[in-house]
Amino acid sequence: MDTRAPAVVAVIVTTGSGPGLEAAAASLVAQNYEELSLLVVANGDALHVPERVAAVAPNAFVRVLEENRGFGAACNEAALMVEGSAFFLFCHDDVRLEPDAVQLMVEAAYRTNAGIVTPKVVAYEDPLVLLHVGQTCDRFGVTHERVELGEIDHGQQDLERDVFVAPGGVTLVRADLFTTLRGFDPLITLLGEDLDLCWRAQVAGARIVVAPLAKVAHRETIATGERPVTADGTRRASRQDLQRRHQLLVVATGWGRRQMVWTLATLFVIDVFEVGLSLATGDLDRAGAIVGSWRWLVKQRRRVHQRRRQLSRQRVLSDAELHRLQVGGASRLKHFFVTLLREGYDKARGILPPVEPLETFDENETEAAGVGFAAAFSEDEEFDEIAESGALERRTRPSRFMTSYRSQATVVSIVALLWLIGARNLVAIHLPLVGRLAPLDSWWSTWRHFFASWSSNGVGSGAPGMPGYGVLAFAGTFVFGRMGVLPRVALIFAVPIGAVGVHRFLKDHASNRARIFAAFAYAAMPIGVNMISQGRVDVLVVVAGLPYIVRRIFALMDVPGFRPAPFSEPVPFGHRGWRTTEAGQRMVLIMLIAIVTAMAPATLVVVALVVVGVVVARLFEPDPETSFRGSGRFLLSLVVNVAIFLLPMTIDVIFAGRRALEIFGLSRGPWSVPSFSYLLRGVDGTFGTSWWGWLLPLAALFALVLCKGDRRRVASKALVIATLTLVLTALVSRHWLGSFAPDLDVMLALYALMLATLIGLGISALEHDLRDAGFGWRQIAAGLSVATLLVAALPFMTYFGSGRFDLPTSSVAESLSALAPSTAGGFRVLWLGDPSVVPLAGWSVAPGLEAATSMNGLPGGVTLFSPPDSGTSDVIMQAVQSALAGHTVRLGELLAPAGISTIVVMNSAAPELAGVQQVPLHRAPGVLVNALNNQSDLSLDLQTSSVAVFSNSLFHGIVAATSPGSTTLSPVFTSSSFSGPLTAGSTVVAGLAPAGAFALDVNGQATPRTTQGSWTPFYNVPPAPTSPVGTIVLHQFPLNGLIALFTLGMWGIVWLGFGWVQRLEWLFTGRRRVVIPRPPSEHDE
Amino acid sequence: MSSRRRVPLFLVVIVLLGATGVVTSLRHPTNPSELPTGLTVSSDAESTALYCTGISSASGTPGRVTFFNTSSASRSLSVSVVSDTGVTWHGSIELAAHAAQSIAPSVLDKGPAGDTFGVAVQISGGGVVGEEIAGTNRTEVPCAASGVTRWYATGFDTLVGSSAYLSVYNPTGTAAVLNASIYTAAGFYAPASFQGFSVPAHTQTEIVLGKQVVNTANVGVGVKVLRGSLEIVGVESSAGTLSYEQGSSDVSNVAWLPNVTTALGASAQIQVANPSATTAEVTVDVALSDFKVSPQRLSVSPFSTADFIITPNSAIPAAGYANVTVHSNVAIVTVLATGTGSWLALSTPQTPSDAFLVRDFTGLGFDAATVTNTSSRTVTFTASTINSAQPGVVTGAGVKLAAGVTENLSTLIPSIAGSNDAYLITASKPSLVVSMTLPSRPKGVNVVAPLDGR
Repeated sequence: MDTRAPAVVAVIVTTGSGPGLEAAAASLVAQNYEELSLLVVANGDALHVPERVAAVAPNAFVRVLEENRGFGAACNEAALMVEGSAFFLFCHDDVRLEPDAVQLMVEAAYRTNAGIVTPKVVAYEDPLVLLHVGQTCDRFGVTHERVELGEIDHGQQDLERDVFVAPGGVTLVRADLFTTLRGFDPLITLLGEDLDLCWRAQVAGARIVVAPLAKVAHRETIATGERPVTADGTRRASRQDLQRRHQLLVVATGWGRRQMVWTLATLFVIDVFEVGLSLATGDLDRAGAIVGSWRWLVKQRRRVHQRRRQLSRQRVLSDAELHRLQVGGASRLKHFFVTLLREGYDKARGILPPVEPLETFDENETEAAGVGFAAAFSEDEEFDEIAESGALERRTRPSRFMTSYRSQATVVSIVALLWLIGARNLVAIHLPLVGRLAPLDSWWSTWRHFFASWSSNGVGSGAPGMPGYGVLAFAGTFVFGRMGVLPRVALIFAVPIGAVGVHRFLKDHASNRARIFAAFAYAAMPIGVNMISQGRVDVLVVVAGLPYIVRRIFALMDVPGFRPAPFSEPVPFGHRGWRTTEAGQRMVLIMLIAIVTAMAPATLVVVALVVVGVVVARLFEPDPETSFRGSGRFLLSLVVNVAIFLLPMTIDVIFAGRRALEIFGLSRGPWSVPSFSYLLRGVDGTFGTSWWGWLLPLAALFALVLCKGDRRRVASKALVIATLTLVLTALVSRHWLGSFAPDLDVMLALYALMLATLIGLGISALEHDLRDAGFGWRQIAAGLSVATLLVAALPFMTYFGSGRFDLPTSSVAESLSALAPSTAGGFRVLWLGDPSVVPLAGWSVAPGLEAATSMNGLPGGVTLFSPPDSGTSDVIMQAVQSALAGHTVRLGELLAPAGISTIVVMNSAAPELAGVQQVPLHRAPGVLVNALNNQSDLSLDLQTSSVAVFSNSLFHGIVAATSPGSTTLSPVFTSSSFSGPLTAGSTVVAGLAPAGAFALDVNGQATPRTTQGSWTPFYNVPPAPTSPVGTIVLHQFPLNGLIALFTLGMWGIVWLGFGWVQRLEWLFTGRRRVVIPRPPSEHDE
Repeated sequence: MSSRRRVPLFLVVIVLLGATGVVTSLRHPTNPSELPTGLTVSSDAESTALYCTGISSASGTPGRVTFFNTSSASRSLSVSVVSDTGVTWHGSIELAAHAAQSIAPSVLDKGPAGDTFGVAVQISGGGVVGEEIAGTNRTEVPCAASGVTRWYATGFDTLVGSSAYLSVYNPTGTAAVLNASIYTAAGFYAPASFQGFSVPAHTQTEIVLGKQVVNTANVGVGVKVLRGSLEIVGVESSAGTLSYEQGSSDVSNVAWLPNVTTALGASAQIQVANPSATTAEVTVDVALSDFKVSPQRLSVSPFSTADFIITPNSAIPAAGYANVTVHSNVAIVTVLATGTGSWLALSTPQTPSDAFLVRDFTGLGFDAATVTNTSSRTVTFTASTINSAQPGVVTGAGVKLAAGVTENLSTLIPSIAGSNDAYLITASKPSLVVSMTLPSRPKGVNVVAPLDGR
């Protein structure tokens, strides 16, 4: 009887330099197991491997492979070389085995009848730290460690047990099982081959056991990135790519058909969620890995079928039995949410927070921090604090309130819940026609407005479509064309998104707690709530986007702490990694600014304020070691590039002449703008007008005196920017800068951001800077600061009551819907009033007086944006100005050619209803109503404190005709089609500009057109046909469409620049992309 | 940041914010509610309108409206006349440059006697002014270029033998609604029939004060137009003597009355109404060229009226025309009532302006024509003829008028007396008051208003 121990062949697969090869080989040589042979497979790059092995293991066999086809393929190759072996011991070249490891593993294999045995794996440098004691796995192929990260080995895991996965490194596999399974799958070159082998072994009924007494140290040079991934077929893939695709392959082949379909479908949904989340947070690598894994799977479908057929032949365990061996649920999803709740988003998505700057603590401080001998026995960190300790007196440690992730998550959840409660009615309530809440047109129509050759604004305009329509239409794509969702999303989520932006803005400058407080402060600033209550979606977009814009401006201007890592080395445009270069970051900023500017052009002024503010602040306090130069060039490049990205708007501005500056906003009436004390509080509305409105600015003020060091530098910049913003806002509010009147509310958004920044920095100063100072005025200021913050939060809660942040339930405009005349010929309504209350875009007639028109009824999606170039619509502005100056008493006659039937003078956007809704009155110039009252051809139909409505007695429709021999105009056609029967020999006049763009086709033939010295086209209907039918048609070269197309193309090209040129090149040509390694960067997020 | 750097930054920020706060808070901007008025405004107008009311065909002395084209181009006037009985007449007038033309409501003489008339004139272009002149040629009132939403007047008399009414014309296409309040020496009165009083579009009507306020002297009226705008003129018939009261669209703390007669046999009173809830402490300064008169003081209770007699007054010698200035601590309504002991005619103090048109529409010549600088600084003004054979400036490089000084226009423009020429007086700032009286006996009891193109 043969009593010899079963033969074990240890296979070490080494690649490249193999830094631990000698140690691995030596540890195997030192094994106390007699029947152990050593085979070293040099995978690809085999320089000096035989010599190195021979030096420590002269009896070892070395097999050199020409190509590195991966770990699995090398093991398969080794298995083919060996005959008569009972076990294979597959080893990486960066392991170190305890001398009895092999023996213990073989014993365990026999004792438990296991097919695969895995040892206890500990850290290479510190054998006390456990790495693996086998692994579990969920149905989606996601492995799960059985030990905690950094868990110390006290013997607590030393129990032999079944596991699902034997993690790679050192794996003992029964030779017959290995043969049955046909070895490793060569398709899996790296990362995941252990999971695949174990899964198939489980399916085949083999048992996998961990033998914890067998101890192996593993350096994990591949997983930790110490060594690059070099196997064939992996050059274009990151570790994440490989891991994802191999997991997917295992799932796609490891289950029976029905289970496979269900599991893949579920996994697809989870992956879509993860992709969305990754895209939202800029984690493009992750998104790319997920998408790439599915693409790879589809590409490998033939191999998938082969594997499935093979596995079905070996299948012993049913899907249900297999699933019982796994952990339930989706462990990745579960882990994500648990981590999110406990430790914040950054950790949840797997990115460790940046390294905190090292703080120097002296020994006393360290002791005082409660981490000492006694702390190990007491849960209370203050167990060993001695009251008399001098160190304790110096500590002045900030409160522990909201220092743990759990408490922060709880508070954030509560506030988020409160916000949702406060916004509950915005979900389904009818949105009133106030601010910019005019009902949006359909998705397709909104695109059409962007490409349109003609818009009905004013008396008609051939100016290029405003890019805001493009942004809206693009956004509409994400809600599947349900455009009505967009304003609701903006109303409900803009402020929270902005608050999140503030949280990210202060990253690296303040603790998580301080950032959360700053975010809350931003949300509690009056500007957000007031803009919701006024329906100012455009400003809300700014509120949401501004923190992200300012953060990137600070990073590019090298404001201390905003660029923690240097930009990546230059990467060619279109290659992956270009985004993290300086050019890429600049382009991201430009695109961000362009998107927000398209909705609210005053954003560009705000950007200029930020840049100028940083420059001015540096005059007082130069930043040490900043490499940024050329602020003017920087600002110019931003403006020029944004202008290119918003080309239609740029063209509009260029041709707007004296109205060019009106692109930033229209002058509001100096009598109705907030006073300086309101501006100091950031108030433009009803929220924040009482005494507590001072609390947040007061808390920001405290920050200025509390901050030190880098925090102070950032605070001074915030202070300068806030000051410049306030000064500019005050000057604009008094109309002292002429027609340059950037939207006050957009500027107040920047002011609010700076205040929130100061508050965040102030709290951070409480945590850090204050501990260095002795008791004095700073402590008093700190106390006051905290008190003001807490008190400021209370009134905010009262605004949650209405469930709509006091957004009116009804609007003035909608109450006028019954004033429409008959629809024959179409009609226009002229809206006059302060720009802050008129619910559509128009042009400035005088300070505090905007004029805009809507066609055939109330304002809609087509009137959301107006080009600054009023063009022919100047006739309306001039007529109103004439009336204001007392130069005409026939305004109705002047407006009749434009088809204006009704003039609406608005003093507020919504009616004041006592006890129901409170609406700020922004009165139109009082002289206006007097002037309109003096017009002999207008009659006052309705007058309330909110609105005055005049009807034009000379109205004759937008399209009218005179009968032969008569001069009386009568409406013709219908408002919807501008076509219909005409009278032979009549003259048709159309209030449509530009006159040259329109033609009247009578029975399919164009009629001669004249303008007779006016702006309206006149068409003479030929007398010949007795019953002519006419149609007004637009004949315009689609130049606007081409401009819009060019603009979209520009966006597309730049989008390609973010790595997609490389991706698409690979997709279409099959050429291999050149991966340019890049160092990890802060901007990767 | 070191404190050495921090302090300058804080200082700059504080100074910047402080200066901005102070500068922007110094003067709170007000919402402009007044339409620009004046002759200069209308000169380049696309179209203008004139509204006149108050003329009557009563007692066989129908008034007339005279239009004068101040521009150097002809103007087409589209005239609509409507009586209080609803009879209308439309016509057109082609008014040559600098020409004048009158129309009388006799064109509507088909209606019953006692009719009052409203006249609306649409003018293509600007520069045309109008004056309505009573048939007696003893009272005039300019036509208005726009309606008003507030109107105040006082001094009406409903004593036996007198009557007073407000002639109200709605020139707009909007039915107007007004509330009228009455102030008397006994206090405030808001007759129910004067509340929510409706005036249909393009109609003429009267509000007869005597129906609600019987046998009362010095009746003040405040009209608030709730909807639309109106042209209103007060018509007072005192012992058979007709006078028009222009009224004012706003109350004021100060009034200038440069030509108040102190002649023997004449009667001149300052009638005051206080439409506020505060007692008005009124000071009347009377300046006579050779005499010094102490300021006279008068208290006017809230929502009531009072008067101050200038002539006859033992404290004020009979020495020609007195230059009277009325100051009050609260905004009040002031009117000058002149006449004899048996009758009084009302005239509203002029509002300071920078342009006046002076023309003798009655052909009687002026007994006095003065220009007063109401401001505290010297004002330069020029006078020019616009319809004479040699149009042009007649005051050379301009006349400097010291603060508070009243100058006789006859001295500055000798040709003004008995002239048919029109004189346009323009000042460097709107602080001139022009006052004129017609020849009368006793002297100075017929005060007429210049045309200010309002």
